[in-house]
Amino acid sequence: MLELQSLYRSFRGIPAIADVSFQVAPGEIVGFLGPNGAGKSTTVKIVTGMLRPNDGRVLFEGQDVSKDMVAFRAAFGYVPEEAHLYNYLSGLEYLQLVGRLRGLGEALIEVKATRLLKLLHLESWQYSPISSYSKGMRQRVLLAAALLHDPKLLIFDEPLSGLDVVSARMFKDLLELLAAQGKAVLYISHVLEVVEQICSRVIVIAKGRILADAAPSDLTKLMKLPNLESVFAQLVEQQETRSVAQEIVEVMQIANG
Amino acid sequence: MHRLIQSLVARLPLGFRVLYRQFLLRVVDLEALSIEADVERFLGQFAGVLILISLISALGAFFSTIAPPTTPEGWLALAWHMEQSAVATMMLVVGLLTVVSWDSTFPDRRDVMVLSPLPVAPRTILLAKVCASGALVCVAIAALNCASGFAWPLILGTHFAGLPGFARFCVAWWLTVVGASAFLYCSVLTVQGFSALLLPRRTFLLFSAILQLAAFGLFLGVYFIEPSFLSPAAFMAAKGSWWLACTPSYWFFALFNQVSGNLPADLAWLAWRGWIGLGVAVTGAAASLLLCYLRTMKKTVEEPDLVPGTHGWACTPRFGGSLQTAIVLFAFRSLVRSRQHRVVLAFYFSVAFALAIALLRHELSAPAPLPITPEFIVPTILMMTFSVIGLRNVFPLPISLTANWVLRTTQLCPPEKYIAATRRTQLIFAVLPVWIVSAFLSLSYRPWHQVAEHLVVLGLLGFAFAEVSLIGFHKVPFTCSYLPGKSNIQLTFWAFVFVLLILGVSFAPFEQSVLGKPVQYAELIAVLGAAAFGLWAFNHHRAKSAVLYFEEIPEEVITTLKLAYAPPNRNQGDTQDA
Amino acid sequence: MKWVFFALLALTAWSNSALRFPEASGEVQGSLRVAGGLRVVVGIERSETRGWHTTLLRVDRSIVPGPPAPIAFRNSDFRISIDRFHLRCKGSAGKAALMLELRNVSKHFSSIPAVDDVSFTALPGEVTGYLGPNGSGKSTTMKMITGLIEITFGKILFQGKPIQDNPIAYRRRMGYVPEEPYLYNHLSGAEYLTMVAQLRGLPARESSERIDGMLRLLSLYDDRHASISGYSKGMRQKVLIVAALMHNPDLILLDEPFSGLDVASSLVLRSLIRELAARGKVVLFSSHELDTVERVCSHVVILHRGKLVADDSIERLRSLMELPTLEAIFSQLAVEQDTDSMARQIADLIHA
Repeated sequence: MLELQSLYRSFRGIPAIADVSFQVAPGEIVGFLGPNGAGKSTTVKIVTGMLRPNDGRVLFEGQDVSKDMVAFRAAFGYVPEEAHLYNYLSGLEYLQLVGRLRGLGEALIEVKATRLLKLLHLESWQYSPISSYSKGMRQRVLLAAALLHDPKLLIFDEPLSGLDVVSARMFKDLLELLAAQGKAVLYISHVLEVVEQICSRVIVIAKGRILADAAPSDLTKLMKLPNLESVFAQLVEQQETRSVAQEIVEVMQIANG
Repeated sequence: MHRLIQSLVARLPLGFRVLYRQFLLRVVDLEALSIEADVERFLGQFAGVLILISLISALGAFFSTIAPPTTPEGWLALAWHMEQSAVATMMLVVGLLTVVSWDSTFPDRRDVMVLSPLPVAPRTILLAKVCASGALVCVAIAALNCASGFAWPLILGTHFAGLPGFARFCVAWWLTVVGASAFLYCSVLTVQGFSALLLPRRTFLLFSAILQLAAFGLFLGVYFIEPSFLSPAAFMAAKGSWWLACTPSYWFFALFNQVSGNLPADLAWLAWRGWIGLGVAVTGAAASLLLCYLRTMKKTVEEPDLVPGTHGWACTPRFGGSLQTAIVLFAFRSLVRSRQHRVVLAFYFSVAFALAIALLRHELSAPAPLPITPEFIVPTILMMTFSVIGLRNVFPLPISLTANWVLRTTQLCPPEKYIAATRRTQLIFAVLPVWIVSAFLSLSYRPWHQVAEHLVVLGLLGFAFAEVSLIGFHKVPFTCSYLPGKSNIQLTFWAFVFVLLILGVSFAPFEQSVLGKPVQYAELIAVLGAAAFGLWAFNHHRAKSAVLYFEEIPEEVITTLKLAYAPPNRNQGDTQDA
Repeated sequence: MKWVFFALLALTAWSNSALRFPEASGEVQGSLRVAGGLRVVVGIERSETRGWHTTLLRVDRSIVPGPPAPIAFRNSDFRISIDRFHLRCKGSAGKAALMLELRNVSKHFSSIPAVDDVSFTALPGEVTGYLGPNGSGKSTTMKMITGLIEITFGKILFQGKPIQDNPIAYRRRMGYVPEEPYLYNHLSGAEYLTMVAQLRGLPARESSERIDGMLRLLSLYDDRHASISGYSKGMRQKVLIVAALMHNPDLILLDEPFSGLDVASSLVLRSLIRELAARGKVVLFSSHELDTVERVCSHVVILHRGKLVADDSIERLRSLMELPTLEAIFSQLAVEQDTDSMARQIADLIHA
C-alpha cells in the first residue's frame, strides 16, 4: 500500500537519507528501527508530507503522493513521537477539531469521539484542558485522533511511551486487530522487545541507509544472534555500554581532595 | 439578513471556518495575559471597555451643544482637539492590541506540527490567521467608534458645512480611523515578517522580544507625550519640528482634514504622507506574510529543534553564595526569556520609562545647569516606586510551574537564605537600574553635592520600598502557583500609587529644602536609614521562622449548617427487640 | 545445653557469598563478605535434627560500618546441618543501616486511600523494582519517599531514621528522576544543571567537571547550550539523570527513567543502574517496561490499588506462582481488565 522509492534528502548539502526504499503492504505491521540521527525522523517526515524529498518518491496505492497531498493526508493516521497538541483545548474539543478538519459529520464525530475517549479511560477527563493531562493521557488522545477517521495507513512513532502496562497491552492487541482488518501499519520504536513481539517485518536504518529489511526471526537466524537487540547492536555498531556506565559512575564520584 | 450571512458563511470551505474559529480564540496571547482560555469573555470585556469610552466621548459631544464655543477659533480648536485625540486613541488601542497579539499572525512551530499532518492546505491556515487577527482589529475599531464616530461628525459636520458636512465628516472619520489602524497593524506585521525572513532564528527571537517591549513603551510614550495642536497657527509654529514629520497620528489627522475638506494648504504634505504611509504599510504586510508562509513554514519543519553551535557564557557573575547566584540568575533568565513576564513587567516599566523620557526631554530643552527642584525629585521617586512595584507584581506569576519539584527536593538551606536571595533580586533588577538611570539623568543638574545627596536619599528610599514590597513574601519568585481570584493586586496597586503620589508630591518640597543644609540632611538620612534598617530587621526576623511555600492553596471556607442531632429515645425496654 | 550464638550473616549484596556449612561434627565454619553498616536478623527456619537441639536460631549482630571483611565463626559444640534457610536481611533501628524502609505507609486523599498500608524495604547493593498499573499509588508512594507529598500514616525511614527528622540531610543524599520530565524550558541544559549544582551548594569547579563529564558520556555535551524547549524527550531524560546523580547520592529514585530513551541510551542506563547498585547505593526504580525490569532488578515490589501484592525476588516469584515471565506474574496480580475485548471494541468503533 505504501511504497518508498529511493528517497534522498539532504540538509545544507549533508545527506540525511540516501536510497531509502521499502514497502508496507496491507495487513502488515512493519517495524522501523534505527539509532538517533540515523534519518528515521527525516523519513517519517517525508512520508507524512512535512518535508519534500530531494529525489525519489512516495507512492500510496500506486499514486505519487506529491500530486495530491491533501487526499493522502486524509487517508493516513499519524501518532508523532513528541506530543504536539493544543494545550488549551479539552480532549473532546481536540478530537472535534481533528474530526471536523477531516470532514467527518458532526453527529459521527460526537459518537466516535466520546466512545473512544470512554474506551481509553479518559471519560472523566474529556472536558478538562489537555494542559492538565499526564503523559499517558496525552498519548491516548493522540491515538484517538489518529484512529478517528478509520485510516488505511497508520504510522506510529513510539506510541507506547507513557502508557502503563494495561494500556500497552491493549494497544498491542488493537494493533493486531487493525492489521487483521487490512490496514498497513508502520511502527517506529526504540523498545526492541515489543517490536520483536508484534512486527511481522523489521527495517533497520543507520547513517541514512537501510541496513536490513526482514522478519525478526529471519534476522536472528541469519546473524546467529539470540535476539533482536543483539542483531541491532551489531548492525549499528554500538559501543560497549558497560564501560560507559562505569565511567559515568566514576565521574559522579569525582571529588577534589 | 441573518440567513443570508449564514448561507454566505456556509459557502466558505470547511477547513477555513474551523481554523478561523480556532485562531480567533488564540489571537490574544493567552500566556501573556494568563487567561485560562476564556478568551471570549475577555474579548467581550475588552469590547465593552472600548464601547464605554466611545459612549463617554459621544456624551462629551452632546454636552458641547449645551455650551458651544462662541468663536470660530473655538470651534476649530474643539474640532482639531477631538480629531487628534480620536486618531491618537485609536492608534494607542490598536498598538496595544498588536503588542498583546504579537506573533499571532505568523505560524508558530506548534501549529506547523499539529496541522501539517492534517488535510489542510497551507494557504487556508494563512487566510484563517489573517482573518482572525483582522477580526480582532475590526472589533476594536467598531467598538471604539460606535458612538463617537457618529456623534462628533454630527456636531462638527453640521456646524462647518451643514448636512452634507455630516456625511463627509462621517466618511472622513471612519476612513481615518480605519486607515490609522491598518497603517499601524500592517507596519508592525511588515517589520516582524521581514525580520523573520532576514535574521537567523535565534537572533530573530531575541529581536522580536525586544521589539515587543519597545513597541509597548513607544506606543504608551508617544500617546502621553505628544502635544496637541489646537490651531493652524500652532501647527505652523511647530512646522519645522520633528514631532510633526515623524508621528503618524499627525499624518492621519491631516488626512482626516483633507477628506473632510478643512485642511489648510500648507499642511497638504502631511496628508500625503499619511496616504503614502498607508500604502507602503499594507503592501509591505502583504508581501511579508506571503513570503513568510512560503518560506517560514518549510523552514520551521526542516529546522532541527536545536541550533548547532550555540554557545553559552564562559563565566557567569556571582551574586553572593551559590544559592543566591542560582536564584538571581534564574530570576533574570525567567524575566528575560518568558513572554508573559516581559509583557506584565513592560506595563510597569514603561510608565517609569515614560517618566524618564519626560525628564530627559525637559533636560534637553531647558538650558543647563538646572537646580534640583521637585520637578526632578518627584519623577525619580515615582520611577523607583513603579519599578519596585512592577517587579514585585511579576514575582507571583509562575513559569513552568510543574518544574518547581527541583527546588523542593534541593531545599538544603533554611528558608531565610531563599528570602535573602529574593531581596537581592529585587535590589539588583528594580532598585539598581532606576538608580543608575536617575544618576545619568541628573548629569545636567547642579550643584553636584546636592545631586549626590538626592541620589543617596533615593537609594535609601529604594531599599525601603524593596523591603516593604517583600513583607510576607515567603516564596521563590516565579515558582509558586498563582490563584487569580486571590489577587486584589490591581486595587491595592492603584491605591498605593495614589497614596504615593500624594506622599511623593508633599515629600519633594521638604527634601528640596533640606538639600544643602548639612544638619537637617543628616537628620533626614538618619531617619530614612533607621526606617530601612528597621524594615530589613523585621523581614529578617520573620524569615527565620518562615516556611517556603510552592502552592497557593485557596482558603478553606468552613460553613456550619447548624443541623441538630436528636438521638433516638432510649428506654430500658427498647433495647429488647422482638 | 549451652546456646551458642553463631554469627551467620548472609548478604545478597553481591550475590557472591561463600557460605559453607560442612557437616562436620563439632565445627561449623564459614566466612562471608558483608557490606559495612548492616544489621541483620536472620531466621533459620528448620534444620535437620539428628537428635540435636537445633530448632530456630535467631542471630542478631551489628556490624560496624567499614569495608567488607570476612567474618569467621566457629562453633565446636553443635552439629548442624541446614537444608533450607531464607536469606532476608531486614534492617531495624540501629546504627548506620543504609537502607530505605517503608512501614505501614498510607496516604489518604480526602479519606480515599490512594496508598494503603504499604511496607517494604529497599536494600543497598540491589536494584529494587517498583511496579503497578496506573492508579495503583505508585507515583504517590514515590513522591512520599522524596518528600514532595505528606504521609498520612506510617513512617518512611532512611538509615533507620524517619526522613522528617532531618529533611535537609535526607535531601542531600537523595537523587530523584521524576516520571514526567518537568524542566525549566527557558533555560539551556548547562544552565539548568549549573543551577541545580548551585542550589545543592556543590563547589563550582567540582560540579562543573562532573556535569561536563556526564554530559559527554551521555552524548549531550554538544547541545548543552541550546534551550531545553528544543530538546527531545530522550535528551530531557538525560538532563534529569545528570541532575539526579551529580551530587553522588546514596539513595536513587527513578520513576520511569527509560521512557523516551533510544536504544543506546537505554542500554547505558541499564548498565548504569546496575553499576550504581554494585557500588552500594540504594536504587529504587519503577517502570512499565517489564522486560527491562526483569533484566535489571533483583527484587520487585508490586502494587495494586494502593496495596502491596508482592514483595520478593523475581526468581522466588517465578517459582511461587509458577509463571515464566514477569509480565505473566504481573498480569495475574495486578491486571483486571480484559484487554482483548477492549481492543476489539475500539477496532469495531473505528470501523463504524
